[in-house]
Amino acid sequence: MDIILNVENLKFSWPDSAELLLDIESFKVRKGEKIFLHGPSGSGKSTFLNLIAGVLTPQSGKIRILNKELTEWDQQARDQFRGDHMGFIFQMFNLLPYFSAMDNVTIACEFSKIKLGRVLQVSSSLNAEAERLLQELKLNPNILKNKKIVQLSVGQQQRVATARALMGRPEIIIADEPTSALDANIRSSFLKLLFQECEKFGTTLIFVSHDLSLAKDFDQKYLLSEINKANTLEPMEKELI
Amino acid sequence: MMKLLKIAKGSLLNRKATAFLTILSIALSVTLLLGIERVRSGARKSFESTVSGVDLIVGARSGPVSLLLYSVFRIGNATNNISYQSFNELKKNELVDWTIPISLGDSHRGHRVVGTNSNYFKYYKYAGDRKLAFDKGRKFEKLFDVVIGKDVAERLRYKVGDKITLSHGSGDVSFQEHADKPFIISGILEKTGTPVDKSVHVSLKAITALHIDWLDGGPPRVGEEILSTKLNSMKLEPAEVTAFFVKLKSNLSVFKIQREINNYENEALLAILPGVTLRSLWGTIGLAESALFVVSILVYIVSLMGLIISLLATLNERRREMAILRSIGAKKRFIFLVLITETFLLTLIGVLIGVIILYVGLLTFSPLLESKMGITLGLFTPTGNDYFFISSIFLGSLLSSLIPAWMAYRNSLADGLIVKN
Repeated sequence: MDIILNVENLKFSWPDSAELLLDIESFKVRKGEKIFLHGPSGSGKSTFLNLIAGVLTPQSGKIRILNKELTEWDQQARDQFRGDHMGFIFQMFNLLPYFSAMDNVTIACEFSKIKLGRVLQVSSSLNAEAERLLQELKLNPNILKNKKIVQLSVGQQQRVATARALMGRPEIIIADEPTSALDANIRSSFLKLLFQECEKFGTTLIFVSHDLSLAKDFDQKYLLSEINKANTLEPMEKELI
Repeated sequence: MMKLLKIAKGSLLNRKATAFLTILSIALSVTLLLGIERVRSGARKSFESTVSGVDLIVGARSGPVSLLLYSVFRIGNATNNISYQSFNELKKNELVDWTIPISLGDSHRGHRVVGTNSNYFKYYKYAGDRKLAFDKGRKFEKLFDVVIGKDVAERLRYKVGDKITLSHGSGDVSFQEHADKPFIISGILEKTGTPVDKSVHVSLKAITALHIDWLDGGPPRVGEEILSTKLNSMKLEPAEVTAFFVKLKSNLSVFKIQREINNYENEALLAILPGVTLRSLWGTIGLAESALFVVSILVYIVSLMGLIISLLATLNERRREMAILRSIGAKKRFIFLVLITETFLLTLIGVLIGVIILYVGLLTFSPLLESKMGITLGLFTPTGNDYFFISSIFLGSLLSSLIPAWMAYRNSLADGLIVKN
C-alpha cells in the first residue's frame, strides 16, 4: 500500500530552547490505515500534530504527505494544503459558536476549492452534502437547524465536528482526543461511526489519545515516547507510562 | 472575502451587548465631532451673513472688534459717538456710494433701539444679497414712527399701529423712560436671522427728539419737557451718530478711504473692513472652538479605547475559534483580517448611527437654535471637513485594531492547532 505520510529524521525544538522536543527517525503511515498514537500530556503530541498539519516547521528532517515535501513549502502553501487534504477533530469546543451546525460543516469548503469540487461531484450543493453527512453520523439536520451550537450536547458537537472533518473527503483525518470529553457509553459508538466513514472512502485516520482502552480496533498503535528519541519526560513520568 | 465578512458578522452578533455599546460610543463621538463642526460653521456663517455689501464701518476710535460688535451685532456699547458733522462730511466724499448711519443708546424692553435713516431699508443687505423686506406695514415716515424686527414683534406680540415707549440706556430694565414721547409701530420687518430681528428702528430725528429736552445726560426737569406735538414743527438736526456703514463706488478705493478716515483731522475716527475684523473676531472665538474640538477628539479617543478593550477582552476565549479556522486551512493573515474586519464593521455601523443621530438632532434642535441664537444650521450636507473627520475616524479605528489583530495573530502562532486550557 502507498505511504501517505512519511516522517524522516524529524528534529524539532522551540526557538528559545536548546533542548530537542522531538527527534523522530522514521514514522510512516499507509493510505487508509487507522493509526492510534498514544502519548501522555507533555510528550510532544501537540507539537507532532502541529508539524504534520504544517503549522510548525521542523529544524531538520522531512515530512512527506501525499508525495508532497511539505517541509520545503512556505507557510501559506502548507496552510492551503492542510485545508485541501486534511480534516481535524479536536477534543472539545470544535465549533464556531456563532454559526449554525450546518455552517460549521460547510465552512470547510470555504477555504478549499478542492474540497468544494469534490463535494459538488457527489452532491447537488454544500448544504445537501452537509445534511447527508450529519444524517450518516446519526444527527437530524432539521433538529440542528433550530438549535444554537451551545445548546448541543458534547456528543452532538463532536459529531458535527466529524462531519466538518469529513466534508470534501480529505485524504487524512487527524483526531486529537476526540472522545475524551464524551461519556464512556457513547465513546465506542462515536468511534464506530468515525471508522465507518473513514473506511467508506479509504480515508487515513490518525487518532491521538491517552486512553489505551480505545486502541484495540486500530491497524497500528504507536507510543510517541517510543518513536521519539528526544528525552522529554522526567524519569518519574516515564515510570508512570 | 465573503467568508471574512460572514465570520466577522457572526462573531459580532455572538456578543451583541459589547458590540452594541462599542457601536454606541463610536456613534456618539461621531455625532459630537460632526455636530460641533456643524455648530461652528453654522455660527460662522450666521455671523458672516449678518451684514454684507458694506465696505467700511466707521465709528469713534476704539477697538475694531468692539466697533464691529456694537454696530453690526448690537453687542456691547459704544464708548463714544461721532459728530453728525463728520458723518455729513464723509458722506459727501465723491468716492462714497451710500451710507447708513446708526445711532444707539436707547432700548425697548431689552431690545436695542437703532436710530437710522431710510437708507437702512434701501441698502442694508444680509446673507449675501438679501435686502430687508416688510412683513407688515411700511418704513418710518412720521417722526414717531417705529419699525420693529420680527423677533421683537413675536416676543412682545406687537402689531402695526401699537403704541410703545422707549427707554434710555440699553438694559433690560430701565428707570428712565421716554414715557412722554410714545411711538407708533409703522412696520414689522421680515425675519432675517440676524440681529435686525431683535432691533427697534426709529429715525435719527426721533432719537434727537427723544433727547432734545435732556440736559447733561439727565432727564428734563419738571416743567421743562418739550411736548411731542410741538416737536413735529421743530428743526431736528442730530448732533451725533454712533457709527455708520459705508459703501464705496469702487472697492478699489477701500484702503484709501480707510486711511483718510483713520487720519481724519477733526475727530478721532476708526474705519474697519467688516470681513477683516470678523476674521480677527474669529481668532478670539477660535480658542473656545478649539477647546470644544479637543474635547470631541478626546471623546473619540475614549471610544477607540473602548473598541480595543472590547476586542482584547474576547481574544482569550477566541483562541479555539482561531485554531478551528486555522485547521480548516485559514492562513495566519486571515486571523489578522478577522479582527480588522470586525473593527471595520463596528466603526462603519457606529459612523452610520452617529450620522443618523446628527440628522435627527439637527432636525430637532435646528429651529430652536435659529430662533434663540440666530444660528442657522440647516440639514446635514457633508462638507470636505466632515469627510476628513469620517475618514480619520476610520483610519483611527483601523490603526487601533492592529493591536488586537496582532495579539490574535501571535496567540494563534503560539497555539498552533491545539489550544491548551
